[in-house]
Amino acid sequence: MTAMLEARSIWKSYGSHLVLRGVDLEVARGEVVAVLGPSGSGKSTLLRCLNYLESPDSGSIHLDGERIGVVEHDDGELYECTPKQLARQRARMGMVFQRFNLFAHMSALENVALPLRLVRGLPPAEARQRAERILNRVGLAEHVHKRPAQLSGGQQQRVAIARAVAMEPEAILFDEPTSALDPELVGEVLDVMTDLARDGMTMVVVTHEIAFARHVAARAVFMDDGVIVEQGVSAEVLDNPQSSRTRAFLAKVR
Amino acid sequence: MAHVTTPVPTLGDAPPRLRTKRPGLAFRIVLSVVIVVVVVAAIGVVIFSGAISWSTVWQYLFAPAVLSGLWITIQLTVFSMLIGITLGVLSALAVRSRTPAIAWVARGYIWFFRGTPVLVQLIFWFNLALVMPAIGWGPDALSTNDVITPYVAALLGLGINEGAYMSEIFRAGIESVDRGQSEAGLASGMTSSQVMRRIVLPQAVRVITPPTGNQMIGMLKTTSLVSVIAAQDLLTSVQHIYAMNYQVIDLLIVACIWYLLLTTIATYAQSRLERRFAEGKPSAVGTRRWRRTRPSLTVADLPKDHS
Repeated sequence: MTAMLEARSIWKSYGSHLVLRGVDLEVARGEVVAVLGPSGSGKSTLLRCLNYLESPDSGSIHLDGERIGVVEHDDGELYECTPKQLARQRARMGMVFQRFNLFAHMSALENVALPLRLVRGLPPAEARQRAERILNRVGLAEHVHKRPAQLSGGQQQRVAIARAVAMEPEAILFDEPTSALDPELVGEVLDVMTDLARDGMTMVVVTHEIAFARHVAARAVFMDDGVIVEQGVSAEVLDNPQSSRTRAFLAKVR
Repeated sequence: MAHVTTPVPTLGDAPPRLRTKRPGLAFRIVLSVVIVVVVVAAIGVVIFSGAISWSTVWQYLFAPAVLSGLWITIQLTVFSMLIGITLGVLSALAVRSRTPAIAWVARGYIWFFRGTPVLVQLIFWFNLALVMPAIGWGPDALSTNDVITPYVAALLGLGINEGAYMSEIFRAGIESVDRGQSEAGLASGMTSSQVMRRIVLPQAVRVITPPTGNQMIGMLKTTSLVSVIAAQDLLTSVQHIYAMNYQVIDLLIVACIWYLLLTTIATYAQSRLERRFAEGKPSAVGTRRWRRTRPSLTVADLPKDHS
């Protein structure tokens, strides 16, 4: 089993505040990993380090064997990636945000099509076709011409997922994708994510949805205080937590 | 507690609206009448005092010299705003540059030109020949006095000064766009310049437009400062005329009528523009490419009934 996404010994601090204390995470091709933990445990920061929206202080990220954010030159020196190289690497990973972050001045269709044109270099007509097809797949065929402000939170998040999926990434990172949604809108977003998981997408999902973690994710990772406290097959971690911190967290979430 | 359901009332079930009177209405009516009388009387004293010759005002309102001054004022406003907006965008982006020297130069530019009076700057550009007698080197060098005419000095002074203010307006506009917008762009693999051009600036336009309109209106009046370097603008023109006929007040009124007309038109245009943005119409910058390729993508084309 080769790792699609591999984080080794990730450390990150903001000033004197240590957020990640040497986190290791391996995600296999087609695997869905749920990352759980109390707020402030570092799970979002870890996710943002995976595509270098935050640069880790130390440690390494590899996507399908390629090191992210850093290149090693022949003389053994490490160099920051150029902005172009980093952009090319990020295009291989999708990201879905808690607050959707749809481009507010564009329709749903343009939101999905713009990266296809700018990053993938598709001609406009082709980008539009692919965007329409994928919006259709997430059940938004009637809303393609609406702007984010005209869509419900659940619809916006489905557009955001479509935007990530359209790029045909090797993995998608989800940063609490349902935390900003009204309770009755959570289901439609989780349904789309479940379909994606069934299709074999490699996914890292920071979430508080225990049911999703249990049924869709193969593996659950529990983080607290900047470290992975416990991980394993999701049903086992959730039903039979070994660590007292995991138990305390699950007791509060349930 | 008993488990009950409540039927939904309809409009017919609603009781009549409360009828209330506003206290102090009579007082406000009396106050308004008093204010109107005082203001009308004050204006009347000035207009009919005999000190102002309205026939002189009328005579010069459309005089060729005045109209050509007006035309120069309009040109100076438009061109110096264009220079200012260009310099403003460039310096706002330069301040964010990762190359320290570029950021320093931009910050120094903003600091210097916001920190010195534009009047002084105008006089400086007009006298540039004193510090730099020639522009260029060797046989191709031009005499500074030939290049820096009052008109050019006016454009340089107003435009470069305006750039420093526009820079701050652009900076505020760029910073007003939620960071999540750039992050989403970067995460999808766009470069930071693509994010700036396609995501951030088109949204910043909403925030940038109202203060830019204010700057434009201010510029209409600021151009009058160029009269100190005789740049042939509206104020210079009326000054030339009253220097000969001594009708100072009448000619200043001529100038004021034109300034008021220009600022009123500009204010109206600005309020139209702001209303357009408030309605959530797509910004011109962000969707132009799309509109050309696919007209059906603008909000205006959506069915009107959904909200």
